[in-house]
Amino acid sequence: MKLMIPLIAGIIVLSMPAIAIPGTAREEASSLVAALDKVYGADVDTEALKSAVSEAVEAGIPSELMETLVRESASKGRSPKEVSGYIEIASDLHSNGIPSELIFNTVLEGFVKEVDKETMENTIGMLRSKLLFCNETAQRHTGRRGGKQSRHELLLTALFYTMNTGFNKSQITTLSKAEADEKLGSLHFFNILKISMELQNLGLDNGSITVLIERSIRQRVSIHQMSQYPSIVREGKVQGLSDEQIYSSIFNQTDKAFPPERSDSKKSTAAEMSAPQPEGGGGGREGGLPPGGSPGGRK
Amino acid sequence: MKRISDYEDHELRRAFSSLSRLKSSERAVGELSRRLEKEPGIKFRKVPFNRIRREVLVAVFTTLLIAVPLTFFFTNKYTKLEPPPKSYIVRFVYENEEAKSVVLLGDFNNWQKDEIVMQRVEGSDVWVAEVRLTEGLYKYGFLVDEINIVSDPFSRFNVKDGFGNESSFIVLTSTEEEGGPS
Repeated sequence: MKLMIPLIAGIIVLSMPAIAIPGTAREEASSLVAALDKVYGADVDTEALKSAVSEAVEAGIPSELMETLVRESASKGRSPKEVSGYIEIASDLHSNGIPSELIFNTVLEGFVKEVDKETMENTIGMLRSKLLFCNETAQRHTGRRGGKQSRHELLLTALFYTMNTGFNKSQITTLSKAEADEKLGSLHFFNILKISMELQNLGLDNGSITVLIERSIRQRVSIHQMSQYPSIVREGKVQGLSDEQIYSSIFNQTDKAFPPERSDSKKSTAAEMSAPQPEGGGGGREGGLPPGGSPGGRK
Repeated sequence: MKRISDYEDHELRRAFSSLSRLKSSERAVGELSRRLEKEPGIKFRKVPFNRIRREVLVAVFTTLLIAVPLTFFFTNKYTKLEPPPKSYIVRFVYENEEAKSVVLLGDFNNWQKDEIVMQRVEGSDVWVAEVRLTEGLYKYGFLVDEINIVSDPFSRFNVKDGFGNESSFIVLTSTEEEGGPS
């Protein structure tokens, strides 16, 4: 009898994920679907939207996100057919392990910017293929199984944004291959992408950035050193140097730090690779300012 | 020979209490109980699952022994035990002398217009909002006077929004791990 109580408790606890979670998802889905009836009229498109919402929530897409999407689409007068199209794409991506937030945030951004249906659908379609490519690339660096989910998502998002700044699949593949060849970690790749995006934002050509970064990776230039590149570019631009002059100045500095006989070897230490980045290195401190959330804009 | 009904209650109770201490085969005990059941005035209190208790216990224990490690192995919540993502308080600052209202919107609040209203710093043209965010990448913009969504002019990162404009974005990551050789 003494054994029975913990055993029964154990069985109940073990069966909870199997019983409670799908039950909750089903309840959330049905309450959302019920709310849809009030928002849209009862027609074929609304039925399609209801079924898309229901399937998406049961598949694990956060119901809060779905609720926001449905609410916003209704308030912006978007048709149920259009919205169900976005939900289907998000569900498809979700089944491939891609966070639905990445698509939904773009949809919501489009809604708030009052983008027309045709442009929205084209953009979302393009983003879908980009996300699938980014997910595949990220998986090569974080591993399909056992990798930390948050790390995978971080790299996936960084790849996605890098592509949205204008880098194409071939350039991303070049960087990814260099990282993989040098057996560098996913966080290293993440930082590489961050530097590439910053250089791109400074007006450098994506092709040249790819060449510069690939060369730096293969020469085992530390992240600390690479994070100086944007400052070098900024200074060069102020001095009125051409892009070629800026690149040669970067290469000169790199070659000085890593002469050929050493830079080709793979003996750079972990300390070199893990030196802290300046300017917060992409991470704000508690109460501090992050690099991206720059203080102050002027109209 | 004395029949069971000839015994006094206390005598029977004493006799039966000694039965459990006797080493007898299961078959003999079963036979005895069947005979006793036929006796008038004798009722047995049945213990539920008494016969199969051991088997049930073994089955449940074995199930748990297999199920618990498997659950831990296959359930994401258990296998990917990670510390909660780091969070940062990010101060967004925007300067506009003509604006009547500025709202911060972005991926972190699902681009909701009514969530983060920026406050004007008294006696200046500076609008400020502080938001707690976990590590990640977030697109954002400023909604000025409920009409125009503008990107942050001094953001380090800008990205095409896919609709012909640009959005600013921030990168929040830890500097502890820079990603050395794996």
